[in-house]
Amino acid sequence: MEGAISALRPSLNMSQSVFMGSECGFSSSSSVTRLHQLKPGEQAVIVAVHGETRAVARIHSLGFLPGRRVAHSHTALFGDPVAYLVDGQKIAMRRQEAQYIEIQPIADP
Amino acid sequence: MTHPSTPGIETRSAKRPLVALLGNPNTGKSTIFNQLTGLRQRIANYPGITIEAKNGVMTLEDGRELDILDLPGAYSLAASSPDEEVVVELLTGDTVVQRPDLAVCVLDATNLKRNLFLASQLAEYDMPIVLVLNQWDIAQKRGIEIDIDALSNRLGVPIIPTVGIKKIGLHQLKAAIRDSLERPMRMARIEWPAEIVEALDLLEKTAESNQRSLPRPEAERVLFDSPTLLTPRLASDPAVAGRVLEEARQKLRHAGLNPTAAEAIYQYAHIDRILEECRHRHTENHGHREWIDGLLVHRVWGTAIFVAIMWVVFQSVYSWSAPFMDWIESMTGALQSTVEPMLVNTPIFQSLVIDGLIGGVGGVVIFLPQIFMLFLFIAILEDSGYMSRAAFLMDKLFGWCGLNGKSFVPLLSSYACAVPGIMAARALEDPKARLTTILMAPFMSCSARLPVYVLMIGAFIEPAYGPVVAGWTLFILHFVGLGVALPLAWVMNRFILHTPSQPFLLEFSGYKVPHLRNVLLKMWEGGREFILRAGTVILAFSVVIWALLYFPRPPEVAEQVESEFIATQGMPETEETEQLLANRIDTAYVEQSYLGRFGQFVQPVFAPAGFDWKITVGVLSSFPAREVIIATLGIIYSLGDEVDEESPGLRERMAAQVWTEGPLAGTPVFTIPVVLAILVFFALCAQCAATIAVIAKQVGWRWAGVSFCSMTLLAWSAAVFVYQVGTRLL
Repeated sequence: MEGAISALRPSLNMSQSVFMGSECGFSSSSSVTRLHQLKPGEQAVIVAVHGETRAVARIHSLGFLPGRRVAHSHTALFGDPVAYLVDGQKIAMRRQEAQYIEIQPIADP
Repeated sequence: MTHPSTPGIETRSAKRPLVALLGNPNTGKSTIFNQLTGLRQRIANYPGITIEAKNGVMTLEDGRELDILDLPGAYSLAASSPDEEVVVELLTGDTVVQRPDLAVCVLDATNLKRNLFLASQLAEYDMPIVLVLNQWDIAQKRGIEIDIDALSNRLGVPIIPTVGIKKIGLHQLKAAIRDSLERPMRMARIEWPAEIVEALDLLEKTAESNQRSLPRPEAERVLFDSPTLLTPRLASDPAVAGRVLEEARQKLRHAGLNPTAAEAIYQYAHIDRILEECRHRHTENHGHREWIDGLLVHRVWGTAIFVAIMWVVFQSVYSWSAPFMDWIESMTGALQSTVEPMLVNTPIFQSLVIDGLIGGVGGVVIFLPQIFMLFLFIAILEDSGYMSRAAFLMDKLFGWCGLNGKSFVPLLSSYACAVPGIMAARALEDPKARLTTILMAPFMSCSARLPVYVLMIGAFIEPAYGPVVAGWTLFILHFVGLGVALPLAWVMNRFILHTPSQPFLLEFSGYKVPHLRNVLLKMWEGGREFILRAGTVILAFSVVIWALLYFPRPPEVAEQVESEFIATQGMPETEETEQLLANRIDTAYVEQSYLGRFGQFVQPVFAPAGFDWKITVGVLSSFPAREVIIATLGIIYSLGDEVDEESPGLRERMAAQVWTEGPLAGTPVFTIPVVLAILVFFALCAQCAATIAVIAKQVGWRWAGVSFCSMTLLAWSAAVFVYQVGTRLL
């Protein structure tokens, strides 16, 4: 996220195309990874947050932005919700919300 | 009626400048507010709008006074909770509240980036701003070094580092507020890319052509937040407004921007650039103390620790407050015996003061220690940062029935008193979870139910089954309400509320050592409401119920009872028999009183639950406030009402009650099934006028009515069920 606006544009364009392609269904196609698939101890870079709901605005305003790193931090009893570490803050969300967030896993944190 | 805002309808002097204090939740904003205003504060109540904010007066060094409005914590102006809507409502300035002359935005210095998001949204409004970097000491300890002068220059507004709890930086802040009122400073605004400017222009022009005004900051809210309260400002015709808004948002999409995400993406990029210029060094230490979270949020250990904490809280609430309760009890008794001889010449007035006023209010004030104790724990858990972890752990447990993890704090508060619990539900973003939480809060076993439990269990369960069963009965009764509320919430969400649920997003606050002054202040604020209630509603109802049980009191009744007594037992000679006669006379008066007659009239309704007319009177009189039943039963069982739930006289008297007529004549009234039916009835019934009034204020009279009717019906059905099953099994 340290990059300038111009650096953001490609990822935004990409997110746009994905968004247009799957309006409502978050099909778990093998090429796209979503945040709820992140496992304990893993890290990833956020590619985009899809959708135009209130939830999506909220997720962005809490700092889940394209380009930022996100790490799996804790899982509650029965596997939901999950707390994530993003930009120094720990924020929990349910798997349902985490599905909005497309990520690119980092192989070696 | 018992709402904290009632005593202080704010009549603000128009001459004083108004300073709005805002910021994210958990920034220490309230601490700053308390220290700027001292104790000159009250809950502001503005007719017509749902603003919940504290108003205080701050005095400058030259003696001038300012009004400070402490707005609820908000993450973003894209409002998603009533608390955030209040902030937008105020900034928009079309409410009855005057627009603030200055905004003081409190930022958590340890999480500056996220906190600056709200500040940069605020910068879009044409309003002078002062920024406060609170918790500056912690930020420095964590190695976050910011060049404050550079940041202040870059943003164009004064920035004051403070340590709220240690009063560091307060003088500088006061000086900055004074200077900014004289020489207003505007905060540097973001430069939107061309596409966004174009879209905003379109919205402004549309509003203009419809003879409406839509200033730039409000146009931004309309564009980015899509369905917002401000959308009607575009055009009077919703179809036109919708079409133009869609056109504007389409402009963003064509440029490859998600209109919902665009604001955050550009604002954060703007903030990142500024912080990059003004930051010396940045190390990755965020105060989450991983090893603590590893334990406290662990799916197994964390849950076990949570249960242990709750156990300790409830244990301590009951055991630690006992000596204080005993003290209040003895003070009430002492007051009654001091006052009694003074009024001996006016029996009606004596009864009013002793039984009605002191007895009624004293019976309520006795629970104050427990309420304070519970609020003390809640404040400590909140200020230490644990509450957000508890909400995290509880989410799954609450989620299946439409509540969410954030319902935990309101529901826990409701164990002290449902009124502050319902107020705390305002912080929930999800309207569905908020409504459900508000409607479920009165089911939690509040401290006013305790005296009923203690009386019934002590009188009947303990003698029959021993102290272990008695203890368990008390423990289980505390979860009867919760056990009924959760499935009920599920039914409500499944079949009645059809709005989709909103996301659950929860920020973990950093761990902190709670500050004594803040904790005590929160404890006081929680208990103050209860005191107000005891002093107003309970007082009034005590008098009314006393009157309904005292009048009409024709002298013939006493004469008749006396002659009957003499005919059967002879002239009373000993003190004991004299007392017995006096008690019989009192009982006869109660039977003839307005409430007594009404109780006998209504009794058939409660007959299936095994209640006689006296229990029915007790139940009916406790609808305004359930704790009134103790006083009522005391009067009915003719001991005068200087009784409390520990009084052996009342217990023995109740145990000795037998049915005087009907099929059960001669058998005891208080059998175990009847006692259990009473306990279940009190656990579930909506016997609290204050709670109903607060529900009505938060979600309207319709829901308040639904809550009252359904709880009462449920309580009745459960009492009948318990009695009918109980008489067949026991």
